[in-house]
Amino acid sequence: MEFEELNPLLHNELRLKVMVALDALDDADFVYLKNLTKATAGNLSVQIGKLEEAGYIRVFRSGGGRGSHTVCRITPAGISALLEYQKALLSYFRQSSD
Amino acid sequence: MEIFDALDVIARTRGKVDMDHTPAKDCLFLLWGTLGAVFFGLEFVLWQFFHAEWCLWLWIGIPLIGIPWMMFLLRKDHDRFHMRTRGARLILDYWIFAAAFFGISGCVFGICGVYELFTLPLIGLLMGIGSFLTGEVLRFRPMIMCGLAGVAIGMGSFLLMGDRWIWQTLAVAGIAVVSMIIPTFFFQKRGKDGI
Repeated sequence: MEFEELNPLLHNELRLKVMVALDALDDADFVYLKNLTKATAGNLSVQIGKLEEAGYIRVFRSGGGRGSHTVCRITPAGISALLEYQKALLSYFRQSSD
Repeated sequence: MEIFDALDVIARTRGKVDMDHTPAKDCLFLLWGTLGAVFFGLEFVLWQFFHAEWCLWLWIGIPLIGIPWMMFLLRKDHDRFHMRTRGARLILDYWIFAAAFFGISGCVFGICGVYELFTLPLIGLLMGIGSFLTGEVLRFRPMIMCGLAGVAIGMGSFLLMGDRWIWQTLAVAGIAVVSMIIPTFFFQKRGKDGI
Protein backbone atom coordinates (compact mmCIF):
# COMPACT_ATOMS: atom_id res chain seq x y z
CA MET A 1 0.00 0.00 0.00
CA GLU A 2 1.48 3.36 -1.04
CA PHE A 3 0.56 6.66 0.59
CA GLU A 4 1.00 10.03 -1.04
CA GLU A 5 3.49 12.25 0.72
CA LEU A 6 2.02 15.14 2.69
CA ASN A 7 3.43 18.59 2.03
CA PRO A 8 5.42 19.30 5.23
CA LEU A 9 4.86 23.04 4.87
CA LEU A 10 1.10 22.61 5.03
CA HIS A 11 1.12 19.76 7.53
CA ASN A 12 1.26 22.21 10.42
CA GLU A 13 -1.88 23.31 12.25
CA LEU A 14 -1.29 27.05 12.17
CA ARG A 15 -0.07 27.22 8.57
CA LEU A 16 -2.93 24.97 7.46
CA LYS A 17 -5.50 27.21 9.18
CA VAL A 18 -4.04 30.27 7.47
CA MET A 19 -4.06 28.59 4.06
CA VAL A 20 -7.62 27.27 4.40
CA ALA A 21 -8.90 30.69 5.50
CA LEU A 22 -7.13 32.49 2.66
CA ASP A 23 -8.40 29.89 0.18
CA ALA A 24 -11.98 30.71 1.20
CA LEU A 25 -11.47 34.49 1.20
CA ASP A 26 -10.28 37.08 -1.27
CA ASP A 27 -7.93 38.57 1.30
CA ALA A 28 -7.57 38.82 5.05
CA ASP A 29 -5.46 40.99 7.27
CA PHE A 30 -3.18 40.02 10.12
CA VAL A 31 -5.76 40.87 12.81
CA TYR A 32 -8.37 38.60 11.23
CA LEU A 33 -5.92 35.70 10.92
CA LYS A 34 -4.71 36.22 14.49
CA ASN A 35 -8.29 36.12 15.83
CA LEU A 36 -9.16 33.12 13.68
CA THR A 37 -6.14 31.02 14.57
CA LYS A 38 -5.84 32.22 18.19
CA ALA A 39 -2.07 32.25 17.65
CA THR A 40 0.38 34.74 19.09
CA ALA A 41 1.41 37.61 16.83
CA GLY A 42 5.04 36.45 16.78
CA ASN A 43 4.25 32.85 15.86
CA LEU A 44 1.72 33.87 13.21
CA SER A 45 4.19 36.33 11.73
CA VAL A 46 6.85 33.59 11.43
CA GLN A 47 4.43 31.12 9.81
CA ILE A 48 3.14 33.74 7.37
CA GLY A 49 6.76 34.47 6.47
CA LYS A 50 7.33 30.77 5.68
CA LEU A 51 4.23 30.57 3.49
CA GLU A 52 5.26 33.75 1.70
CA GLU A 53 8.78 32.39 1.16
CA ALA A 54 7.31 29.25 -0.42
CA GLY A 55 5.24 31.42 -2.77
CA TYR A 56 1.94 30.14 -1.37
CA ILE A 57 0.69 33.53 -0.24
CA ARG A 58 1.39 37.16 -1.07
CA VAL A 59 1.75 39.64 1.74
CA PHE A 60 1.02 43.33 1.25
CA ARG A 61 2.41 45.58 3.97
CA SER A 62 1.48 49.24 4.32
CA GLY A 63 2.39 51.86 6.89
CA GLY A 64 4.92 51.33 9.63
CA GLY A 65 5.19 50.96 13.40
CA ARG A 66 1.94 50.62 15.34
CA GLY A 67 -0.19 51.73 12.41
CA SER A 68 1.18 49.08 10.02
CA HIS A 69 -1.31 46.99 8.10
CA THR A 70 -0.58 43.53 6.69
CA VAL A 71 -2.92 41.94 4.18
CA CYS A 72 -2.46 38.36 2.95
CA ARG A 73 -3.75 36.79 -0.23
CA ILE A 74 -3.35 33.22 -1.50
CA THR A 75 -1.49 32.68 -4.80
CA PRO A 76 -2.37 30.17 -7.56
CA ALA A 77 0.61 28.07 -6.40
CA GLY A 78 -0.86 28.12 -2.89
CA ILE A 79 -4.27 27.04 -4.13
CA SER A 80 -2.85 24.07 -6.05
CA ALA A 81 -0.57 23.12 -3.11
CA LEU A 82 -3.57 23.09 -0.78
CA LEU A 83 -5.56 21.03 -3.27
CA GLU A 84 -2.72 18.51 -3.57
CA TYR A 85 -2.46 18.35 0.21
CA GLN A 86 -6.18 17.66 0.56
CA LYS A 87 -6.00 14.96 -2.14
CA ALA A 88 -3.07 13.37 -0.35
CA LEU A 89 -4.99 13.42 2.94
CA LEU A 90 -8.00 11.76 1.35
CA SER A 91 -5.80 9.10 -0.27
CA TYR A 92 -4.96 7.82 3.23
CA PHE A 93 -8.64 7.17 3.90
CA ARG A 94 -9.29 5.68 0.48
CA GLN A 95 -6.43 3.21 0.78
CA SER A 96 -7.25 2.24 4.34
CA SER A 97 -10.86 1.52 3.37
CA ASP A 98 -9.79 -0.69 0.39
CA MET B 1 -0.34 16.55 13.49
CA GLU B 2 -2.35 13.38 12.79
CA ILE B 3 -4.30 12.88 9.57
CA PHE B 4 -7.63 13.15 11.39
CA ASP B 5 -6.47 16.36 13.07
CA ALA B 6 -5.58 17.86 9.68
CA LEU B 7 -9.05 17.11 8.30
CA ASP B 8 -10.61 18.50 11.46
CA VAL B 9 -8.57 21.71 11.15
CA ILE B 10 -9.67 22.13 7.52
CA ALA B 11 -13.37 21.53 8.31
CA ARG B 12 -13.43 23.76 11.38
CA THR B 13 -11.53 26.62 9.73
CA ARG B 14 -13.80 26.54 6.69
CA GLY B 15 -16.88 26.54 8.94
CA LYS B 16 -15.57 29.50 10.94
CA VAL B 17 -14.69 31.51 7.82
CA ASP B 18 -18.10 30.76 6.29
CA MET B 19 -19.76 32.14 9.42
CA ASP B 20 -17.71 35.32 9.05
CA HIS B 21 -19.06 35.91 5.52
CA THR B 22 -21.25 38.71 6.80
CA PRO B 23 -22.58 40.84 3.99
CA ALA B 24 -22.17 44.40 5.22
CA LYS B 25 -22.75 46.19 1.97
CA ASP B 26 -26.30 47.32 2.78
CA CYS B 27 -25.08 50.80 3.79
CA LEU B 28 -23.48 51.29 0.36
CA PHE B 29 -26.69 50.26 -1.39
CA LEU B 30 -28.69 52.71 0.68
CA LEU B 31 -26.15 55.47 0.03
CA TRP B 32 -26.00 55.11 -3.76
CA GLY B 33 -29.69 54.31 -4.06
CA THR B 34 -30.72 57.39 -2.10
CA LEU B 35 -28.33 59.65 -4.00
CA GLY B 36 -29.51 58.24 -7.34
CA ALA B 37 -33.18 58.60 -6.47
CA VAL B 38 -32.81 62.12 -5.05
CA PHE B 39 -30.61 63.59 -7.79
CA PHE B 40 -32.38 62.01 -10.76
CA GLY B 41 -35.74 62.87 -9.20
CA LEU B 42 -34.54 66.45 -8.74
CA GLU B 43 -33.35 66.60 -12.36
CA PHE B 44 -36.82 65.61 -13.49
CA VAL B 45 -38.67 68.04 -11.19
CA LEU B 46 -36.40 71.02 -11.86
CA TRP B 47 -36.52 70.40 -15.62
CA GLN B 48 -40.31 70.73 -15.45
CA PHE B 49 -39.91 74.22 -13.94
CA PHE B 50 -36.85 75.68 -15.64
CA HIS B 51 -36.20 73.69 -18.82
CA ALA B 52 -32.55 74.75 -18.41
CA GLU B 53 -29.52 72.63 -19.27
CA TRP B 54 -27.96 73.06 -15.82
CA CYS B 55 -30.74 70.87 -14.41
CA LEU B 56 -29.27 67.94 -16.34
CA TRP B 57 -25.86 68.37 -14.65
CA LEU B 58 -27.23 67.73 -11.17
CA TRP B 59 -26.06 64.10 -11.39
CA ILE B 60 -22.53 65.39 -10.72
CA GLY B 61 -23.68 65.65 -7.09
CA ILE B 62 -23.96 61.83 -6.91
CA PRO B 63 -20.21 61.05 -7.19
CA LEU B 64 -19.25 64.28 -5.38
CA ILE B 65 -21.16 63.20 -2.28
CA GLY B 66 -21.10 59.44 -2.79
CA ILE B 67 -17.40 58.75 -3.32
CA PRO B 68 -16.04 60.36 -0.09
CA TRP B 69 -18.92 58.85 1.86
CA MET B 70 -18.31 55.41 0.35
CA MET B 71 -14.57 55.59 1.16
CA PHE B 72 -15.49 56.35 4.77
CA LEU B 73 -17.96 53.44 4.94
CA LEU B 74 -15.55 50.98 3.30
CA ARG B 75 -12.77 51.95 5.71
CA LYS B 76 -15.14 51.46 8.64
CA ASP B 77 -16.26 48.14 7.18
CA HIS B 78 -12.70 46.86 6.74
CA ASP B 79 -11.81 47.99 10.27
CA ARG B 80 -14.75 45.91 11.49
CA PHE B 81 -14.24 42.70 9.52
CA HIS B 82 -10.49 42.67 8.67
CA MET B 83 -11.10 40.55 5.58
CA ARG B 84 -12.86 40.53 2.25
CA THR B 85 -14.71 37.64 0.64
CA ARG B 86 -14.49 36.76 -3.07
CA GLY B 87 -18.16 37.65 -3.44
CA ALA B 88 -17.55 41.10 -1.96
CA ARG B 89 -14.64 41.60 -4.36
CA LEU B 90 -16.80 40.57 -7.33
CA ILE B 91 -19.58 42.92 -6.27
CA LEU B 92 -17.14 45.80 -5.77
CA ASP B 93 -15.54 45.23 -9.21
CA TYR B 94 -18.94 45.22 -10.91
CA TRP B 95 -20.06 48.43 -9.21
CA ILE B 96 -16.75 50.15 -10.06
CA PHE B 97 -17.39 49.26 -13.72
CA ALA B 98 -20.99 50.53 -13.50
CA ALA B 99 -19.86 53.77 -11.81
CA ALA B 100 -17.16 54.35 -14.46
CA PHE B 101 -19.76 53.84 -17.19
CA PHE B 102 -22.12 56.20 -15.38
CA GLY B 103 -19.46 58.93 -14.99
CA ILE B 104 -18.03 58.77 -18.52
CA SER B 105 -21.37 58.48 -20.30
CA GLY B 106 -22.85 61.22 -18.09
CA CYS B 107 -20.09 63.61 -19.15
CA VAL B 108 -20.40 62.69 -22.84
CA PHE B 109 -24.18 62.98 -22.56
CA GLY B 110 -23.95 66.47 -21.01
CA ILE B 111 -21.09 67.94 -23.04
CA CYS B 112 -22.50 66.83 -26.41
CA GLY B 113 -26.01 67.84 -25.39
CA VAL B 114 -27.47 64.73 -26.97
CA TYR B 115 -30.20 63.66 -24.63
CA GLU B 116 -32.26 61.37 -26.82
CA LEU B 117 -29.81 58.51 -26.36
CA PHE B 118 -29.85 55.11 -24.71
CA THR B 119 -27.45 56.30 -21.98
CA LEU B 120 -29.90 56.68 -19.10
CA PRO B 121 -31.78 53.42 -19.79
CA LEU B 122 -28.39 51.67 -19.96
CA ILE B 123 -27.39 53.17 -16.60
CA GLY B 124 -30.70 52.02 -15.14
CA LEU B 125 -30.23 48.57 -16.64
CA LEU B 126 -26.72 48.32 -15.15
CA MET B 127 -28.11 49.25 -11.73
CA GLY B 128 -30.80 46.56 -12.00
CA ILE B 129 -28.33 43.91 -13.21
CA GLY B 130 -25.94 44.90 -10.40
CA SER B 131 -28.60 44.37 -7.75
CA PHE B 132 -29.59 41.07 -9.36
CA LEU B 133 -25.97 39.83 -9.40
CA THR B 134 -25.35 41.05 -5.85
CA GLY B 135 -28.45 39.13 -4.75
CA GLU B 136 -27.16 36.02 -6.56
CA VAL B 137 -23.73 36.27 -4.95
CA LEU B 138 -25.20 36.82 -1.49
CA ARG B 139 -27.94 34.24 -2.16
CA PHE B 140 -30.58 36.72 -1.04
CA ARG B 141 -33.86 36.24 -2.88
CA PRO B 142 -35.55 39.64 -2.17
CA MET B 143 -32.53 41.39 -3.68
CA ILE B 144 -32.68 39.13 -6.75
CA MET B 145 -36.37 39.98 -7.21
CA CYS B 146 -35.76 43.73 -6.73
CA GLY B 147 -32.86 43.53 -9.21
CA LEU B 148 -35.12 41.85 -11.76
CA ALA B 149 -37.77 44.55 -11.22
CA GLY B 150 -35.05 47.16 -11.82
CA VAL B 151 -34.02 45.38 -15.03
CA ALA B 152 -37.67 45.38 -16.17
CA ILE B 153 -38.01 49.14 -15.55
CA GLY B 154 -34.65 49.66 -17.31
CA MET B 155 -35.89 47.73 -20.35
CA GLY B 156 -39.14 49.70 -20.29
CA SER B 157 -37.28 53.01 -20.17
CA PHE B 158 -35.78 52.25 -23.61
CA LEU B 159 -39.24 53.09 -24.91
CA LEU B 160 -38.97 56.63 -23.51
CA MET B 161 -37.28 58.16 -26.52
CA GLY B 162 -37.84 61.32 -28.54
CA ASP B 163 -39.83 64.04 -26.75
CA ARG B 164 -40.33 61.87 -23.69
CA TRP B 165 -36.58 61.47 -22.94
CA ILE B 166 -36.78 63.49 -19.68
CA TRP B 167 -38.95 60.71 -18.24
CA GLN B 168 -35.85 58.51 -18.44
CA THR B 169 -34.46 60.43 -15.42
CA LEU B 170 -37.58 59.53 -13.45
CA ALA B 171 -37.23 55.89 -14.56
CA VAL B 172 -33.62 55.81 -13.28
CA ALA B 173 -34.75 57.36 -9.98
CA GLY B 174 -37.41 54.62 -9.79
CA ILE B 175 -34.81 51.92 -10.47
CA ALA B 176 -32.65 53.37 -7.66
CA VAL B 177 -35.61 53.04 -5.29
CA VAL B 178 -36.72 49.59 -6.46
CA SER B 179 -33.37 47.85 -6.87
CA MET B 180 -31.21 49.61 -4.26
CA ILE B 181 -33.24 51.23 -1.49
CA ILE B 182 -35.98 48.60 -1.04
CA PRO B 183 -33.55 45.59 -0.86
CA THR B 184 -31.63 47.46 1.86
CA PHE B 185 -34.69 47.34 4.09
CA PHE B 186 -35.05 43.60 3.46
CA PHE B 187 -31.37 43.26 4.29
CA GLN B 188 -31.72 45.16 7.53
CA LYS B 189 -34.82 43.17 8.44
CA ARG B 190 -32.89 39.96 7.84
CA GLY B 191 -30.08 41.31 10.06
CA LYS B 192 -32.56 42.14 12.84
CA ASP B 193 -34.31 38.77 12.56
CA GLY B 194 -30.91 37.09 12.61
CA ILE B 195 -31.74 34.83 9.68
